[in-house]
Amino acid sequence: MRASHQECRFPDEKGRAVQRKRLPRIAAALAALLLTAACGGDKQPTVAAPKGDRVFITFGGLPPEELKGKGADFVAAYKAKFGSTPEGYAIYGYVAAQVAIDALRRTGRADREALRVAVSETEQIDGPLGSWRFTTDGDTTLTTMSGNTVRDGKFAFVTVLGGGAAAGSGARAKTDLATIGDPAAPKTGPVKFVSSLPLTGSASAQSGTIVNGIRLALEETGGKIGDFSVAYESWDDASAKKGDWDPEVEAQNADRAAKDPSIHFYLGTYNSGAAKIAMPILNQANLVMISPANTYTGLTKPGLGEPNEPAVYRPTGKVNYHRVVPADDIQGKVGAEWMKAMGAKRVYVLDDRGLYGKGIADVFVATAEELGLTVVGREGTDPKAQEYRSLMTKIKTANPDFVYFGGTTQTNAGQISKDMVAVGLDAKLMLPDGCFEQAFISAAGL
Amino acid sequence: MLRVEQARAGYGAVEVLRGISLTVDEGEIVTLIGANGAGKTTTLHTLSGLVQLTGGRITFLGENIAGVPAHELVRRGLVHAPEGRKIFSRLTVLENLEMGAYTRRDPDGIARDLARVFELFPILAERRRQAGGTLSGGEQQMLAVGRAMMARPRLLLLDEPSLGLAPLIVARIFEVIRELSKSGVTILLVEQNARMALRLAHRGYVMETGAILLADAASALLENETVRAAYLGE
Amino acid sequence: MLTLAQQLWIGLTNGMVFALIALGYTMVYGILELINFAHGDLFMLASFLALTLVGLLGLATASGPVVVVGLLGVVLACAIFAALINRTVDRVVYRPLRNAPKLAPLVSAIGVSFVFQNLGLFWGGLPLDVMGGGLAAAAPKSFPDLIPSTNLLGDGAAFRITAKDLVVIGSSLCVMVALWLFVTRSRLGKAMRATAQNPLAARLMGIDVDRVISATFLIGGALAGFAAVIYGLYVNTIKFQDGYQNGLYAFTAAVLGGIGNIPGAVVGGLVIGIVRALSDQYIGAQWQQAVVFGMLIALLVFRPQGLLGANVREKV
Ligand SMILES: Nc1ncnc2c1ncn2[C@@H]1O[C@H](COP(=O)(O)OP(=O)(O)OP(=O)(O)O)[C@@H](O)[C@H]1O
Ligand SMILES: [Mg+2]
Repeated sequence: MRASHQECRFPDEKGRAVQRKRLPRIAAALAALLLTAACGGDKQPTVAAPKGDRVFITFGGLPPEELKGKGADFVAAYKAKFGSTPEGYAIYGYVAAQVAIDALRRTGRADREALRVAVSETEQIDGPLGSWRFTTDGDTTLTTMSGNTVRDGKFAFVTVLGGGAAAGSGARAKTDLATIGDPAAPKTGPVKFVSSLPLTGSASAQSGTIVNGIRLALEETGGKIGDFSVAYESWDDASAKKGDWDPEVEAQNADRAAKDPSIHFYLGTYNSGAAKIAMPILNQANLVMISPANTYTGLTKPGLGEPNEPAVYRPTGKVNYHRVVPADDIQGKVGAEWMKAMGAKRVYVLDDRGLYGKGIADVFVATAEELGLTVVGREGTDPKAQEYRSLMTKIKTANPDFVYFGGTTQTNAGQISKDMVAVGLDAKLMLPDGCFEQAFISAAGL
Repeated sequence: MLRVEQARAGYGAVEVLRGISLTVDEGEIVTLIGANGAGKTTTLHTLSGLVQLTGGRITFLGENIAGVPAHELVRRGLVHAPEGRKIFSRLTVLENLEMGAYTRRDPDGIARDLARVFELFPILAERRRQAGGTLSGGEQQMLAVGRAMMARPRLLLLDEPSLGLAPLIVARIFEVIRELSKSGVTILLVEQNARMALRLAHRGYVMETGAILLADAASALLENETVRAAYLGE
Repeated sequence: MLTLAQQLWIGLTNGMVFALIALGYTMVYGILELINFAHGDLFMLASFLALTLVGLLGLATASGPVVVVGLLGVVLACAIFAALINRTVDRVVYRPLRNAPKLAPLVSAIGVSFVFQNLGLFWGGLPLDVMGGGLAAAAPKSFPDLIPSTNLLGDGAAFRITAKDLVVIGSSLCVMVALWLFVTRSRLGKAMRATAQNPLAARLMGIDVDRVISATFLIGGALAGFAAVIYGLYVNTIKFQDGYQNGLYAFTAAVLGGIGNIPGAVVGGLVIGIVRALSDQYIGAQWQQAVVFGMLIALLVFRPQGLLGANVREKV
């Protein structure tokens, strides 16, 4: 898997090969001009020298191309409707909406408590993501992840990772939904779905594809679920001011949804930080929240986040928050396992100091140490830095086989990838799913 | 050469010059004296285009110069050596003098004038590579006068060239002004040192709160009771 | 030891870019006492032009000589572009406020900065191949790697000098020397320094101050345009927020060197580049900003006029 792809690394490999033969000559001329000392003469171009795959990305699920069965059907339907390939997260938007639709069908009543219980007892068999259910904490039992690399300027699937049973994944007793909540709740009329995702700013590509996934699921119902008519509103939780999700906007969205009795499903958020704000508000309104993208462990898993998590998000004690993506503990773990399997011995771990990036990196380090990998360095980066040559030079002296970066495209994963090459740091790079988007490949110039 | 008729000017809403009239003829030395705050500096600023004329008329060499920008007036020969020297403190002495000749394109003439300045103020020649700001006050004043000379003025406006200088240097400066005048430069001199100014000048104007109070031959003003009491400290 | 030398080298290379941008801040400040907040964003816009031209000319796949000639053209175009924009902004926005309180042009500059950022955002969203067409406008854009990063000392050598480093340092030095000669030797350059030191006296010397100000904006803009191409070639990524980040460092460089002082801006830029590098190596990457700004604050406490500044503007 490693050394076999040199010939197809760049889409324009031929053109670049020509260019590379001549550029050293110019370089030499320039060098002679600028530095009369004879230090040229090296004809070996090393710019991004493809010695096989260099960048590895874990993703909490399978990439669209690898989806089978209903997953493949989804990809086909998506392409037909939107004219483009779905990005990695699209299918989670689709499944989140399916979970909601299914719960409404089973309940037959627009009652928040009944819907909450129905959602928590969701069980998908041979769905687009395979078979899975929610744990009592609202996590998916799915642990299947994929290991991917970048070839030809596209993500290329390498291997399936994880896949074991998640904690608390035993079968759950089914409640008789008819006995829950208000029996007099409406059985017909409009039911509103809303999503709260960062539509403005740097994460807008991922959000857009999630919204499309939701639309697709809702349209497949033909606008009718039982006797209910479906309405969907896509809300933005980002502000132009921040160019990213904005705590104020997320709080407003959650408030608005909590107070609007016609809203029965809150699909979101994209960012775990935003979820932290929305969760307690929606919990008190007993409104179901299904996230297609949050991966921060502390949102659901006791003992893996802050001491008061996740209780602090559940003031009523009930679990109204669910997520259909595997959390970071699983991703950090499978990343370390994969790295070990690839024969790595020494790893330098970076993170962007954000909730997501640091969380994943922490789990990665813990697992890596368990597996006997040597963590030769660990530090936070400045996600806004222009470039990282100095950092990479420092890392070079630690001589790692791998660099692991807990971060996203937005927190400069592309630049980290580039600057490793720029300083001649001959190590591979592993990244989590925050980089599993085409924008990362563009940013990294891969 | 210069004719000012009922000129009004000020800063924003504050009117400082309330209709002043004066003339300077070719070859003359004319002095403008008056108490602090009378508006002497404002008069010079108005003449050199730094302050906007709001009423009346100013003609220089027969042309109306109201609204002509300051840098254009220099080109026409109206040169102003401002109050407080205002030399370029981080340019060398030589560069300061070169800036004086900024509008000129005659290298030979510039070289001659430079030699002349160095001849009049030998200390400047000695200090030519030194930053202007490191000169003593007197040297800076010499530099300010020398710099104005480099523009080859036809009419030179001098604002308090003796301010804060030792008597010996004041005398030196006045000597140079006399020589300049002899070489054909017309001079309008604003001075606190009324006695010296009136002795040097052909004619004089006395200014008070934005208006011309007296206008006469310099020798007559030296004898004038009011002037003697108010400005000559007698 | 070698690591220290390597970090100094990296810092020096980065510092060149900061210095080039800092010159634009310092020159405008020197003459107008205006902190031109939009300057960093002007740099960013020029980097987008550079990327667009590199894409349109197909330099990423062109042969060596074509790349060299093409890059010279791109440098020229970006310098002219940024120079003209800078001067136009001065004419349209700052000049009418020349006699207004200092706060008015300052606030306007912040406004211009936002306008530029939004232009950059729009530009980044254009359906061009080089922009990663179709992607989020805000996403980082990859700038093609046109100059080799080959180690000229040999692949395995412990110290790394690349042709890219030499191009960055060499061309920046050339530009700085040219600027220095211009400022100290030419008539207009001297007029610029004179105006910065004493605008009133400058007018009385027959200097058309408006023209000098225009020239200052032109030159500062051209330097930013040049810096943008160098930056693109060196860092290989541009994004619409680059103006903010680099502008902040460059402005810090200008203050560090003594705002208004031209050699000071260069020294300040190099110092910041080097401090950044050493801080990454010996303190930790996450402390970079804290270290740089901490140093600025410390310096301003002990030497408020900056490293080379002696320049409290003389009034009377
Ligand atoms: N820039 C300015 N803005 C507002 N008022 C001013 C300004 N400059 C001068 N003035 C006012 O105009 C009046 C005349 O000032 P001006 O400098 O012309 O006096 P002067 O006769 O030269 O006095 P001195 O002998 O002290 O130099 C004064 O009342 C002064 O306060
Ligand atoms: Mg005065």
